[in-house]
Amino acid sequence: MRSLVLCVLVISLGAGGPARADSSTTTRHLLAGVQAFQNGAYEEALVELRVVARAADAPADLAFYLGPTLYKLGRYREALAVFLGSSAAPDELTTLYVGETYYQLGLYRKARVVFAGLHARGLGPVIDEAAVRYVAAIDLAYREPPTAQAIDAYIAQARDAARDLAVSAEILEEARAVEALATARHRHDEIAIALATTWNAIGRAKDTIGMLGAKAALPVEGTWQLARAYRATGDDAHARPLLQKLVTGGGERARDAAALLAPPSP
Amino acid sequence: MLSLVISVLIAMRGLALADDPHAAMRAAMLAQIDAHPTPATLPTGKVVPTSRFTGVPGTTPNGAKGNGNGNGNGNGNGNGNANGLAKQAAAAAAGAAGQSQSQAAKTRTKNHPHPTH
Repeated sequence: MRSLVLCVLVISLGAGGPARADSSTTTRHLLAGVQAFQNGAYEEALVELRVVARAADAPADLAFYLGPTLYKLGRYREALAVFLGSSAAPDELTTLYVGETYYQLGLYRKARVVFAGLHARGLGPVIDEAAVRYVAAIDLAYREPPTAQAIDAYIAQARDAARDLAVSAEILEEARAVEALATARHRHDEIAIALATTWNAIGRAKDTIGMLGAKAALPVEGTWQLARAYRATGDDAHARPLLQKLVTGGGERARDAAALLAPPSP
Repeated sequence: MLSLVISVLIAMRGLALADDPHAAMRAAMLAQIDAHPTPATLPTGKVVPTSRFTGVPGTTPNGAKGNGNGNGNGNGNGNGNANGLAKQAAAAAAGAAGQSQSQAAKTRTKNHPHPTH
């Protein structure tokens, strides 16, 4: 029996080995940050995680630690920026915190998509029940169609967040989704053009094409942003006629369009 | 004897978890989910700029002052506002690009304080 106990101990030690982190400075700060988070000391956790973020060997999934910490501190825009900026694929728990961050920012259409997706995946009672509650709370708020004032408020929020274009784009997407639920059109083109401008600025030209590409008629600024998006994706066949139209029209973007049409100087 | 083995295994698992930041964070995140949302209310008021100190964006709760500003900007200015918002987005984009260029220049200067031509 004693040999059996020894055997089990050796096996369990071996199994625990690979999961253990090394004892580098970065890992120590990461562990300290996690421990602070566990204890509800979020400010302290943030200090530790900021140290980790500055390290050359910071983990690729730092957003997994930093995002929820910022969320717990009520720094929702920063949390969203961290989640959006992460290149690591989020797991279901991180996704839940992304949904909660959207919710706290009042981006309910975005939050609803996240929570409905989590519910559809059936991820166990804790996550699933929370997701169902959030969806219900959002649907309750949307019993009546959204007002023009709500759309205005989202546009104002997007302006306020213009320093962080990725976050601003999320808010404009929310404004667009909310406007789509309204009984009458309200600042429809304005939202689409601002969103296209922001998407183009953050390298999401394909989204601009997806939104504006199918539209039959666009205002000058919309045509310009669509042409820029086509050009950015290397689709000159679509970009060129739009740019020529802008030049011929002689409007506000004629000079910019002509510059984009001109061959690059050697 | 069996209980001793189980106790040792549990203790070992606990130790491994304490040293595995990802597993420990997962456990903490799961335990601290805000499972009961506060009621959702659509914004109707003026947005207060994000606090530099707390980082918390504020929205006045259906405030009269906020409503006034929202409507003033929103209604009856189709093209003017469209251009305005798009221009602001473009300006912000240009600002962000300028900032990164400036940062890059700073880095270059730091790395090569005396450029050789």
